[in-house]
Order: sequence, then C-alpha cells, then structure tokens
Amino acid sequence: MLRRIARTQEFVIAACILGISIVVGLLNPAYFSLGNLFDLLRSATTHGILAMGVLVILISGGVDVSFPAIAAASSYIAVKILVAHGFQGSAWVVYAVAIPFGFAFGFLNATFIACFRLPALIVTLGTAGMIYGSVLFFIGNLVIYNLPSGLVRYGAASIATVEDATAGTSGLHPSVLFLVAAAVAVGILLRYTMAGRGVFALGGNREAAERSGLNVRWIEYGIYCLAGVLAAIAGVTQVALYRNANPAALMGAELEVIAAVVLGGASITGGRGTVTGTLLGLSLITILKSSLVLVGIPSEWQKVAIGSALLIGVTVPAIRTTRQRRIVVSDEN
Amino acid sequence: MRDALKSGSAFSLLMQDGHVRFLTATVVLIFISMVLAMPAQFPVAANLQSMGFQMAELGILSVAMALALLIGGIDLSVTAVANLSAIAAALVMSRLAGGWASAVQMAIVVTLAFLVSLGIGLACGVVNGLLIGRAGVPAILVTLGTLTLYSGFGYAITRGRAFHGVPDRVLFLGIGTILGIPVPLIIFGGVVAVTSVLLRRTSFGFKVYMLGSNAVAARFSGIDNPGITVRTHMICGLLSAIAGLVSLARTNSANAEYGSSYLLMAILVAVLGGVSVSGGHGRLAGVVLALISLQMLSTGFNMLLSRYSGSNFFRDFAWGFLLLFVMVCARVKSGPLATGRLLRQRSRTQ
Repeated sequence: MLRRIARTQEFVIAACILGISIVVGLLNPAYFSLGNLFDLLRSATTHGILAMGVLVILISGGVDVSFPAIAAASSYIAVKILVAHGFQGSAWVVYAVAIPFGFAFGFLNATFIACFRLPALIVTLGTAGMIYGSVLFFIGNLVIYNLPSGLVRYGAASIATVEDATAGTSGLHPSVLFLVAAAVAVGILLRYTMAGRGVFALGGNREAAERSGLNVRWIEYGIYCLAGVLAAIAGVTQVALYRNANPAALMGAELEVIAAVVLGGASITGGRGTVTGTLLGLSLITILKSSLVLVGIPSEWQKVAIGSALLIGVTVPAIRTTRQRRIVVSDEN
Repeated sequence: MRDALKSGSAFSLLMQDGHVRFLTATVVLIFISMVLAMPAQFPVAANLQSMGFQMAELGILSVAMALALLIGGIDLSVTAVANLSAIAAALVMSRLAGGWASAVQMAIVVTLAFLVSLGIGLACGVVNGLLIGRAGVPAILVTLGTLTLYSGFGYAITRGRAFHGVPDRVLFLGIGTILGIPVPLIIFGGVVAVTSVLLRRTSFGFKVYMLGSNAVAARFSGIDNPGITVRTHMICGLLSAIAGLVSLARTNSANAEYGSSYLLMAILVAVLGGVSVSGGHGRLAGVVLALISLQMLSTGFNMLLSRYSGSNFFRDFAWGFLLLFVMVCARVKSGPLATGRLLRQRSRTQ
C-alpha cells in the first residue's frame, strides 16, 4: 500500500516540492514565512483556477488552448461594459457579467468539437485567434486602468494579513477562495458524480463510453462550458489582482497551465488526472518560478529549471510504463 | 512542388487531392477579391515582394510542424529552437568578429556561426526525437518541456536582451533579392523542394507516412519507429534553425522571445494545409497554399483596415475564422473526415 502511494505522480511531485522547499528554506529563511506563502498563493490563483478547467478537459481526452483568450476576452468585455455605464459597485457584478461571456465562448468551442467532431486542439487554436482578434479589433485594444471602484477595492482586499519587519505587509487575497471553491467543486464533480464518471469514461475510451449509453455530446458541452466559466472567473480575478483590464492578458499562458496539469499526473491522452495532482503540479511550477531567486539563482535560469522539471516529470512515468508493458509482454510469451 | 506545377500530368495528379483543389480555389478567390478591393495597391510588385519576405520564416516553421504532425506527433519547440540557434549564431558572430579583418576571416566566422546554429538545431531535434521515440513520452509533452527548456537557455544566454551585430553580407539572406525575388522566399522554396522530395521520393518519406497512419502496423512491418521519429525530429530541428537564421538575417536581431506567436500560427498553417493532426495524411503543396492564402488575408486586411486602430489584430480573427471555416467545410463535405479520405483514396486506386 505504502509502495503504491510512493509510486504515484502526486507523491513524487509532493516530495520534490518538499525537497526544494527545505533547500530554499535553509538557504533563505524568508521562504518559510506566512508572507511568502501568501505571495505564492496570490501568484498561483489565476493559473490555478484555469488549471481546474484544463484538468477536466484533459481527463476527457480533449485539450484547450483557448482558455487564456476566453479569460481575457470575457473579463475585458465585462469591464468595458460596466465602465461605459459608469458602474462603481461591487466586484461580484463584474464576475456576474463576465461569466455568461465565458460560458458562451465555451459553448462555441463545444459546438465545433461535439457537433462537427473536429480535433479539440485545432478548434481551440482557431477560437483563440478569433476571440483575441475580435476583442482587440472590434471591442478595444487599450488597457483599461480606470476600473470600477468596487473592483479596485476588491483587488486591494485581503482576508488575512501578516506584518513583517523586512518584507512589509503581505495579505491573502480573497480570490484564493475561488481557487479553493473551484478545486473542491471539480474534485466532487470528478469523484462523486455521474457526470464525472462520464468524463473519465470519455477520456478512457470514447467508443466504449458512447456504447455504454453516455451522452458524449452533453458531456463535451458541459466540460467546455465549465472551462469557459472558470476562465471568466480567472480573467476577472486577474483584472482585480493586476488593477487593469488588458485585452491581451494571459496571452501565452496556455502552455504553462497545461504543463502544470500534466506535471500533476493528468494524462494528455485522457482518462487520468486528479485535483490534488494538479494543485501540486501548479505549486511546483509556482515555487520554481518565484523561489529560485531567493537562493540566488538568476531569474534568467528559471525557465531552464521549469523545463527540466517538466521533462523529468513526464519522462520518468513514461519510461516506467514502457518497462511495465515490456514485462507484461514477456510474461505472456 | 514547383516542378509538379510545371508539368501538366503532375499538376492534374495534384488536383485529384480534394483538399489541395479546395485550397487552390481559396487562394484564387482571396487573390481576386483583394485585387478587386484594392486594384491600385494589392497586385503591385512591391506588395507581392513584401508578402514574400513575410511568408518565409513562418513557412519554414510550418514545414517543420507539418513533418512532426505527419508522424502523428507535434513539435511545440520549433520557435524555441529557431530562437536558440539564431542566438547562438549571433553570439558566435559578435564574439569572433573582432574588426572584420579580412573577407576570408569573415567567411570562416560566418560559416562557423551557421554550422553551430544548425548543429544546435539538430541537437535539439535529437533530444526531442529520443524522448518521443525511445522513451515513449507523448510528443506534445516532450516538446512542451523542451519549448520551456530551449527558450530558457535562450534567456539564460541573452539575459532577456536582444542580440545584434550581424555582418551586412549575412543580412542579404534576410533582406536581399535575386531577380526581384526575396532571398528568404528562395530559401523557403528550397526547403519545400527538398522536403517534398524527401517525403515523396525516398523510403524515409514512405516510412514517415506509414508511422503516422498506423504506428503498430509500421512496427510489425519492420519499420524502426523510434529511428524514424528521431530522424524526423532532427529535420524539424534543422528546419527550425534555418528559420531562425533567416529571421536573424531579416531583423538583424535575435532574442529568446522573438516570434513566439509563430508557434500556433505554424500549427494553423499546417492543419489548414490539410495535414492531419492524427498523422499520416497531408502534403506540402497544401501547406504552401495555406500559407499563401493566410498571408494574402493578413496583408489585404491590413491594407483595407489600416485607418482603424488595431487593424493588425483583425488578422488573428480572420485566421482563426478561416481555420474553423475550412475544417467545418471539409467535415460537412465529406461526412466524418476519415471516411471521406478513405473513399477518395479508393477512387484514386481504382
């Protein structure tokens, strides 16, 4: 039993995180402060919410590269509409306006993927271009700094703060609750609901899932719309955290988020993946990104570190399965 | 592809491919509508020449992407490899250049820089190929990792800055013309010619298509799948390095982030050109036609919309729209894509 746990990707990633944390913590005690934890959480929130949607899509055997476009577009449109109407109220309203747009974009993806049965990578590549392009051209290409006051207050809010003599005050931004909520909701969806079983079945074997009576089309609509909604939430969160609405925000984030999900043990061919693994993969990338500086590794080498971690993270399990397969084959002979 | 267009029989053979026919029609349609919309601006030599300059780098990267797609994989590291090898070439040239003592010395330095840069491209390809072919990691994951790794090396070397200092003679490769034809376009033509001979006339090319259409069948018919994968990715790396050198010569600068938007565009061009994402199907003629139609679209719209702000963003919209439109058309026309292709192949053999 212990051995089986030790073999899971989650365990390995957790061990890596622990190892890196100990090394970084020993070299720079500031790492183990609550303030640093808050900062790490703050920088991981947007990507984390996005990663939850990506996780569900990867498990279903699909892939999505349009979620940064959806996040940027729905939040930018929402802010633009509200600013045009002189809205100054609460951040909730911004979320409420953005979410339907995210849902609609997800619905668009799902229509191409589920109805026309086109490859998800190509569809989302196309819709990503269309969404970024149409927002930048038809809606506006200027960064909005003059946000609704409610959103500005929300961006500066914190649910807990720590005072630090050296680093100043660090706050835990309330948007981390969205990440927690998204993780719990996706976890429950995948583990305890019929729809969740359907997502796994679809990713494991589409044909088998269809024949066993699952409505594959509805499942696909569900997951891409869910990813769209999560992207919209992440987009508004990004706007609040960065205090501006940028129609080209998050451009290029898709590969990094997919990398985090895959590092957490989700299979790119579908059928496998966990929320815990995704959160761990995300943590590892976040720590690599922000903590190498603490131990004196120049920031230029960050990407080398992330790339190496990712390569090792995907190669080791693959070699292990190839070897297992060989053993099985030789047993049969 | 060029000689195919010259001889009538080869041309008619090409036209049997439904997708190529469809793309040819698209190219003609876009050209005619752009000419009608802007008769004084669009069909003039200067404009055609500038389109030729813009097409080449993306074109070479698209050919590399098409190769990776043909064996059933993908290569997300093409732009990273291109940048890394351009950076390496720029580094060698600027470090060893000294005062450009003599022409011979310069020729040696430039040759050395090119060899280093192409060698890096090959090496990057070997790493990709080994991890995909031998270790059995899905190509999208390997190249996602190496994309980060290679561009990470690029950052580490340049510290995020851009490199300059390419000798004028080398810039000719990027900005020169021969008989009015842009040199980058000639290089692209050479790349397409060599690659299509490789794919169509050699046993390696046959094996590439075999591996892409059914890896298990290929293995049981005695094809060295890992070897083919490694070699294919070596070519991808080499082509990416060539694209990097062209962009270095065109812009006289190299940095770790240059042209990262080309990555998704290269996939788009290859797929629009009819290369199947599941491997085994597609021809370079389609890729070239897709490239031409996308270039005409973006140049044309840029001209048409130049008085609006952000007109260059309309290109992204148009490209995404065209991609989805073509894919949906192909789907509607032939039912599920696979059966349509099967039927077409069967009618050809009969």
